[in-house]
Order: sequence, then C-alpha cells, then structure tokens
Amino acid sequence: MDILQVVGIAFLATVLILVIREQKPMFAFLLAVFTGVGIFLALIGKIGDVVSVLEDLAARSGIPSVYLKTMLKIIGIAYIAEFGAQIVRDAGLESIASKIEFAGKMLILVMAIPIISVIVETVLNLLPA
Amino acid sequence: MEGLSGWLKQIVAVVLLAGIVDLLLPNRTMQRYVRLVAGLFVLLTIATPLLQWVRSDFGSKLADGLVQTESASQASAGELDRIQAEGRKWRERQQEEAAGVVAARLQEAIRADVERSEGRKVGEVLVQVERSANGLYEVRDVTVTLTKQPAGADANAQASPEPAPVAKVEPVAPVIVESPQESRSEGRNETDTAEPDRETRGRVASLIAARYGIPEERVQVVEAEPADNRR
Repeated sequence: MDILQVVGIAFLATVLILVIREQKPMFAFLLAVFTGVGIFLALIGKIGDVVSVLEDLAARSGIPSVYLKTMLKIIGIAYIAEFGAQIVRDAGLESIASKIEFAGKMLILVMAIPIISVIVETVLNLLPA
Repeated sequence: MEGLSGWLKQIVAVVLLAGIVDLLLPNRTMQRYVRLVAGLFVLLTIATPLLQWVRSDFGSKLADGLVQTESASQASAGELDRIQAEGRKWRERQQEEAAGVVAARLQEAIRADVERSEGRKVGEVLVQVERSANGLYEVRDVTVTLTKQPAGADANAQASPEPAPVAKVEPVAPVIVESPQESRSEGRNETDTAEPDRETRGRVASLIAARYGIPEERVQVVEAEPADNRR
C-alpha cells in the first residue's frame, strides 16, 4: 500500500512540476525538493525497523556495538549525500552535486580511520621488531 | 570452545551486516567506500583473538603463572623446614657463645681465688666445657697451672713480655730470684710442667670444689716451669 501512495505522490508532483517549470522554474525546484523530503520522511519509520533488526542481530551475536553504529552512520551519510546531490543535480548544478558526493565519500573514509589504525597496529605487533 | 563459537558467531553476524548495508546503499557511487569499511570490519572481527593475544603480553603472563605454580607446590613444605633448621642453628650458636662466656668468667674467678688462697701467681686456668647428652653444658675439667711467683709480682711479671718497658724488667729480676718458691723448685727445672705436692693440689682442688661445685677429680693442678716465667 505504501508504495502506491509514494508512486502517486511522485506522479502528481512530476505533473505539477512539468506544468510550473515553464512559467516559474523556481517554484518547480521547490516543489521537487519538498516532494523528495516528504517521501524520505515517510519512509524513515521503515528504516527504523531495519535498524532495530540489525541491532538485535548485533546484540545476539556479540559483535561490538561500535561496529553497528559506524555502519549505520555510514549508511546515513550515504543517503543524505545522495539525496542532496540529486536535488542539486536536478537544479542543473552538476559540479556542486559532485562536491556533495565527494564530501560524503570523505566522511565515510574518515570513519574507517580508527579501524585501519587498529588493524595496522595488530599487524605491526605480530611482526618481530 | 565457548570462545570459538562466539568468535564464529561474530564473524557470521558481521558478514551479514555488511551484506545488508551493501543492499541499503542508495547508489553505486558510495558502494566502493562502504564495501571497504565493511571489509575492514570483517577483518577486525576475524583478528580479534589475535588482537587480544598480542595486547595482553602473553609471554610475561605465562612466565608469572609458571613461577607461581612452582612456588606454590614447594614453598609450604620446604619453607617450614628451612626456618626450623635456621632456628636450631642460631640456638646452638647462642648456647656455645654463652658457654664460652661462662668458661671465661669461671677462669677469671678461679684464678683470683687460687691466687688469694695460695699466695702466688697462677699462670693459667683452663676451664673446658662440653655438652652433655641431655643438651646441657657442664664443666669437663679445670686445669690450674701454678707458678712460683708470688701474687705481689703480678704486675711486673705481666709487663715483662712487652717490648716498651724493658728498663723496668731489670730491677724486678732479682726479686724473683730471691723468692722462696723459686729456690724450692730449682731441682725440677728440666720438665715443662711438674706435679705440685699433694698438699697444694688437694688444697686447690677442694677450694674449687667448695666454691664452684666442680668435683675434685676433675680439677688438675700443674706447676709451670720457673724458667718459663722468668723469660
């Protein structure tokens, strides 16, 4: 059922935007942004279900909660960066969209730095000095 | 076994998590980066036992444990014996020292008494102490060596062996020669020590027996050679 609502809203917004774009391109852009944010917020609750399942899995198998938190942060960064980049790309500013994607990649790599340092330290300790 | 199953569970869960995250990703651009991080997590999970082993300084812990287990088995048995043996040794040494001190004081006291009663100088008093079967110390025998010098000549005779007051020896020498005991024992000059007459011996022995409770048969009285004293 949800998917029908989402697709209906998306079709409606598309038609409206196509009509408005000739007279007022600015309002067409705003309409696109609000439609995207609305669909995103509507599906946040579903993401919450997935996250709770993942947390349950992590708690049962005994993996450190830091792992799961980092993974979820990475997913969030990826989604938000993708969302912003697409909106900017829709507005016709490809260069700014690519900068947003670059920022997302960098933030994901920054999160990997502690893991990399721990692994490197382990390997160096294993080798005889 | 518990740790191994937990480790395997962790690996499976992390791989599953990485797969789900991979599915959740919005598009292809972020996929390589997220896969890198997920791969690092899997690697870290696999290396966790190794990590604990490296960080806990395994070698010194093992050495400490070995030392503790060895000392725990031997210390309780060996330590008590060692302490008791040490205590016995110190007790015996203390008793020997006490016996030595008692013997020295006894020698001085006997010398003073015999000199006072006999009226002549005593060359040497030897008290021999031995340990009896029941662990107590007792006097085995007392040897009193009498000289011919009168007790009054004591200070000068003692000073004579010293090299410094050589001048003092000269006037003393005639005094010794004129003493009556000297002339009496002239005939027994050849021997080092000689038996004194029975009367003197009995007197000294009974004196020591009366004063100190030492049986008379354990007291020996000898007379020093006069030439030895004059030197």
